[in-house]
Amino acid sequence: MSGLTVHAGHNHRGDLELETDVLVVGSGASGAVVARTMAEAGFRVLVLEEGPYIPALTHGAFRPSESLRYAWRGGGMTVAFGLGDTPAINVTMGRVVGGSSVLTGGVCFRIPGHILHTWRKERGLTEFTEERLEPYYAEVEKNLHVEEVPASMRSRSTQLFCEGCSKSGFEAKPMRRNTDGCNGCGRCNFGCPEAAKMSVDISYLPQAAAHGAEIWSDCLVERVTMRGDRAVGVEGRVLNGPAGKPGGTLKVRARRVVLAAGAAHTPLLLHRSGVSGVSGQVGKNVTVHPSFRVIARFKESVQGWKGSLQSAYVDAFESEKLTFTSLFIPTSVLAATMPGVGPAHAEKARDVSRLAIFGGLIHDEGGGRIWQNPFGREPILTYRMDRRDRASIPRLIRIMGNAFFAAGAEEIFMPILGAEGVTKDAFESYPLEDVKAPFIECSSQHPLGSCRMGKTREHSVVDTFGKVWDTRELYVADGGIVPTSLGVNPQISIMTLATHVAHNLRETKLLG
Amino acid sequence: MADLVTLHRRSEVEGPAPRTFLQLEEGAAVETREGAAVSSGIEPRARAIAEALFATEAGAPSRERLDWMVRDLHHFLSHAGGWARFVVGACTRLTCVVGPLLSYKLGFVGRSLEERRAILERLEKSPAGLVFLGARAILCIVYYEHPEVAKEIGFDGLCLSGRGRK
Repeated sequence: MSGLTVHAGHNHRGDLELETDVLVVGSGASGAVVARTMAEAGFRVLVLEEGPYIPALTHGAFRPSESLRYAWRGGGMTVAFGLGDTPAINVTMGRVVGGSSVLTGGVCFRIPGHILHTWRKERGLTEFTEERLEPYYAEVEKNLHVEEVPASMRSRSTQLFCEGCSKSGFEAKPMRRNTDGCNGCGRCNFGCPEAAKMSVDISYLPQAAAHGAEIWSDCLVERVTMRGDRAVGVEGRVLNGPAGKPGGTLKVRARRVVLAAGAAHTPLLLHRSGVSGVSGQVGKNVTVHPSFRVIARFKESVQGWKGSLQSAYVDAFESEKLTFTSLFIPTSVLAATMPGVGPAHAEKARDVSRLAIFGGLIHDEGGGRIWQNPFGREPILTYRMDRRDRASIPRLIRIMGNAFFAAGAEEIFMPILGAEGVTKDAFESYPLEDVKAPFIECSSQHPLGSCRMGKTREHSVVDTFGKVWDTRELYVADGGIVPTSLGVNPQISIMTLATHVAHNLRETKLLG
Repeated sequence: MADLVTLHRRSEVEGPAPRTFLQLEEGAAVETREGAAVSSGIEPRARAIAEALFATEAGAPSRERLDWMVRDLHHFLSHAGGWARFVVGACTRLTCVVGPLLSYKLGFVGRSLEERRAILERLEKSPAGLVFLGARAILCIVYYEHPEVAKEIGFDGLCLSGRGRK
């Protein structure tokens, strides 16, 4: 249905050598934008993706655990290790054609105005104004079919939280998402049964392919081939060995290389390629939007899986650097969050149809770092939470808990390991400020900033057009270039910045 | 030129591997790639933890359900990558080692259901609870996908087959 043809490296026998004008490493949100833009402009484009290709409807028929095993990096178990008074953070990423865009809830926010103001004022990124970005936003939002989720699509879970917000004195706002024909199945992160979520594997990549771009799955890029300061291709392995392990060698000659492997992996590629620059900033300054959920049990049947997965958000606490978004998780995953062992756990698990859930994220400072793994290929992530961000966690949990109790919740389950559900009275006196970091459950879907852009080579990894400082024909276009935390889900921001990069690349003549 | 991608649809898998999930109909797509080897120690540990974790007032879950879970866990681990195998392997092993130590005991797998339940309860509330969380998360996700278990916890199976249109 998507009209996407992908060459499966898995099925290729032996070594693989290719040649192209523009090589894009990574097929996610940013790589797809660059591939489509350059292919439309008439360049020969090749996209290499480490993960497999899973057609959208195939993915939409998966059980959640099947999605995890095939499409999520590390089975969804990738972790940022907390340093100091910081909880461990489950940082999830896609490893599939379409990248993490395949695993999002479809939430679409533009870069907040105050963030752009900060970029201009504190980082000198004067070209990033809402007016100059508007054409890029328009292009992205048209291609992704960004639309406002009507209130009628809200799940009962979200409705209850919104009722609680109103009673607590603040309002939830309707969310925009990249969907076309959403049927409210509440499982966007694990594949859409209707292929209604317009992830790049059914939006941008088919358009790129229609203009001649070649897309290869199961191709692991290990380093960029440099000739002096110029990128001339990549080397790696085809994942056609036994059990999906590296098999044949991969060599690609290219006149231009664009890295879009994601904020966690692009820094490693730069390090391995000997292109770390003078700034020492590669792999540093990582922000993740530490995220926390609160689950509430109601007397009524909620069946939160019926309705849009994400449909409302709360920005009333933006001044405190907190954003709240609706969400839901599959019942099997929801049951996994229920505390207790044996009959105590079983009793709570039987209540999943009466559970509502909401999430909150912290607009964080950049305390993360990507390290090369001495024991394997995957990066090691560490994260040290800023003191102010750490102090925000109890506040964030209290806001969500109070809203749910205002809506009539019987008890809530906080993101604290081993904690039983608490009633309203118990919640009010619960010593949240005293909970130690190892007991806090934290997740992230938004690693950003590991190759941040800037005006000077001393303080950034790439310039404002994504070009790696002091190199030729080597660019970065993924979420790594985002210079600060955004405080909102970053898909549209990443794709808009990638469009900015791609439009410049389109106008920049290839070296001979 | 390489072959184009082939993600096969198939109606059967070898043995009784769990493929159905409520309305997920026969023929739903699964990838047919060969899986990686899984450490043989994981499955008995996972089964011992699951028996205690999912026990009800009536006792341990049925053998059929645990077999289903263990088979699917094996399939999960063989396809989810080395990191997932490491995490699940480490978390199940540590649960079975650290858990008993916190209760001043040695050994986990051979203990009675009631003893294992008590060990896990204490582990869950300890600073080492993250270890148990890592194990229970994937065990729960797989276990609660069993069609009958999913029904028992109130899930109606909406939208699981690509035919969930209202």
